[in-house]
Amino acid sequence: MKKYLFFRIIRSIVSIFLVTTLTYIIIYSLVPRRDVFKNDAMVSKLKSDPDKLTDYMDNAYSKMNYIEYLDTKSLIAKASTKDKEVTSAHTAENKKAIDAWAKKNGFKVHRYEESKDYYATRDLPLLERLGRFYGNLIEIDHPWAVKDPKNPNLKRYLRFENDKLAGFALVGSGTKYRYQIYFNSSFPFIHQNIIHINLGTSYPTYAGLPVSSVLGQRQGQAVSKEYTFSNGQKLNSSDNIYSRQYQPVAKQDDMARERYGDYYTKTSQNYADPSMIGTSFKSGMIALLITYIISIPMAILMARFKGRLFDKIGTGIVTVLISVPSLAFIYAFRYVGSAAFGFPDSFPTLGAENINSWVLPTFILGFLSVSSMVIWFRRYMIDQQSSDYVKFAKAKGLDDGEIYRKHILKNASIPIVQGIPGQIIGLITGATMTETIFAMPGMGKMLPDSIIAHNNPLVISLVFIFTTIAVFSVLLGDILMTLVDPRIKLETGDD
Amino acid sequence: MADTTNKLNHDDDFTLVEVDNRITEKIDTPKYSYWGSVAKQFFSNKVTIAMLILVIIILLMSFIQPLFSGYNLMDVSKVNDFAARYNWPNATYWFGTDADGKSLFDAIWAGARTSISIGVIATLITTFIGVVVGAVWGSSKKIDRFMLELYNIISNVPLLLIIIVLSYTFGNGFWNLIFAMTVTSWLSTAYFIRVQVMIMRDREYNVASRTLGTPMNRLIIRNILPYLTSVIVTQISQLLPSFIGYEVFLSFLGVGLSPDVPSLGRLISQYSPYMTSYSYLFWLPVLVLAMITVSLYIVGQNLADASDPRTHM
Repeated sequence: MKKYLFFRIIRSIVSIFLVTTLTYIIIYSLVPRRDVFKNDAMVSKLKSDPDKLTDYMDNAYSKMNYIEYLDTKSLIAKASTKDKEVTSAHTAENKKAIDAWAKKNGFKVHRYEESKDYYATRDLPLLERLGRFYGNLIEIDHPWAVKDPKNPNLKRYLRFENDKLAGFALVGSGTKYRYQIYFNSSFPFIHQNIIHINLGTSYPTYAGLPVSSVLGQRQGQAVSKEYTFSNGQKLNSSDNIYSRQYQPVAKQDDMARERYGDYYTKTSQNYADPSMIGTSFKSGMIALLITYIISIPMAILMARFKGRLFDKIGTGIVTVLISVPSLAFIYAFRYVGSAAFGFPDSFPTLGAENINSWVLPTFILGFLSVSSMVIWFRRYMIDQQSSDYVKFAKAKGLDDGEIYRKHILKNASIPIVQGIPGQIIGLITGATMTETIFAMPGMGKMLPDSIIAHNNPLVISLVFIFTTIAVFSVLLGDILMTLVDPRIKLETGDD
Repeated sequence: MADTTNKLNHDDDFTLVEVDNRITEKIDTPKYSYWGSVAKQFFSNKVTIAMLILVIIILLMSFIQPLFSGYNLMDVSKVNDFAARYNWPNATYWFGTDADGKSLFDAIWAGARTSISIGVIATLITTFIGVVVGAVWGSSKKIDRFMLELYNIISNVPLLLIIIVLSYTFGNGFWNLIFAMTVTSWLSTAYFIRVQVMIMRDREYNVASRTLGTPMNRLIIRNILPYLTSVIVTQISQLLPSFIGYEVFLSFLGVGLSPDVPSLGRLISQYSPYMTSYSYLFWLPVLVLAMITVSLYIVGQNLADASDPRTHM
């Protein structure tokens, strides 16, 4: 079993890797890179100034890892050697030095249209970009992570201490993050800053932000809380003190420096609403529960009264629901929910803090998979009813209720568990639709949004996240199944 | 003593019957024709007939009506004609008109034509490739190894995700969308057929057939695939509505088709702001869409039931 699990996990990771790589390759080789600027207001604004436009576009390309870009200043800095200073003057000597440097490093030298200054670009080959993507994917923090030439005496340590701000925590110095492990009252209570997933930089929407914080950072309005800072000052601040990061000395702000008493002054903010991942996760889990709570009793009743009125009506409803396209389904239920029960038909109307805005998207997401679940589970129950052990129990004189409770339901828990991965994959699909229609700020809505905005890094990250969830939910479902039914052996049941 | 004189002549009571070799060769069983039984079974259900009529009406409307209406999504000739705008359904405009004074009736059938065409073409391609590959897959152990790994990788990824990402990378367009839809979805059909082929492959009659020297491909085409007719029809009846649904959702997002192609999804997304003000504009396309997929699904399911020989008894 252990050996099997090990190989199974490896295969899952390979599968995630292959899907993400394929997506990466086809997106970056097939989507024209100019499309990024299709809806960019800056491009039309800068049209009158071709130099700035070139600079802006090449900067954007370099942020997205299409090219490496050196503007005049950094090109000159790179091309200069100790014994020979290159200047920005358009002399033959400078040109020769720049050309020589560019040739050596594989760069191409261009000149800005108006100022005729030099700049250089290098197209990154797809493989190198892929390498960078995976190379930077997992960042592990350590006490030698910060290299600030202006701060040579930075202490480097990792130790447990009772911090004035964060309480008991594993505090680092020389690390990128101040608090490596910390505890607080929000779920899951123990938090870490040691391993970070870096999925690249988002562009053109959420321009410049890391993709991981677009998806993982809380949203909405900033919330401030009163803190007693290490210098004794009591202040209302919306800084998320747990996210304190090293701020290079050149960018240090004296006030913040004094407040925190160290170099770790770069913080993110505390926001009121859950992150995109959190939003999707919360609503998805509740939707999963709703699916099971509705479909299992319904399927059991339909199987028990097979061929009677309840079964016939149920089958009719399920047939219609399964064949209606999800879009029509969602709109119809949304209309019923807002007209008859008065729930808001759009998430932002009341916002995330009001529970009413969660009701319709979550319930509809749950309803979406009820029909297929009912059909499947009813079929299973009916097969169980006609199986030999049930006939035997009947012959022995057990009444129907007892057979159901004690025997059929126990056996029926196997497909309930078996169905979980499929349901989770279904939830991802469903959430893409419900979140889009309800304008719910979750990952599902982000996928179409980022595609329309041509935000390639975000598209790839979402594919990566969704594939990871799907692959591991299948794995988890299989493991759960062996726990529920010891007769199932994964080793042999695989091929 | 034997009475020989009073010999009765019984020859008149019996006639000599000639032995007819042809009749003795005939086996007297009730006549059975597979497709005849399928048709009999199929048409015995009233709901099916009603749905079939609905399907035929919808198909005729969406493939003939646009030829006469000449509906063009880009046509804005009536945009300044205030009388033509926002007419609720009436005798001239059966389904009313929209902000540009275009008839919704024309729009719906032109859109339905695109949506149905995409659904049908994608289903045919998926089923054809799926059945062919699945049959080969089920019969060869070497191919099975490779295909199983491929299937494990692809099947874990939600299909909608694949379709969205592919239609984004290939750009907008009718055939691009069909390509995006079919490029991986045949795998699940193929896997399904593979399982069925594997079950059938080792049945006694096939073992016997193989012992007698039937080659594998003949075995699959003649012995196994006819058994899978009802299974394949079931697959088709599930694929068709789901492809139409995907097309509608993609057009709704504005990803799949180019902007000048009318489709039900585009209509629904275009008219969704009018859900409360001019509700007919939004709900009529949704209703037609639901009618298309529900009727196709029910007809398909019943056809699948009817094509299963076990229901013919």
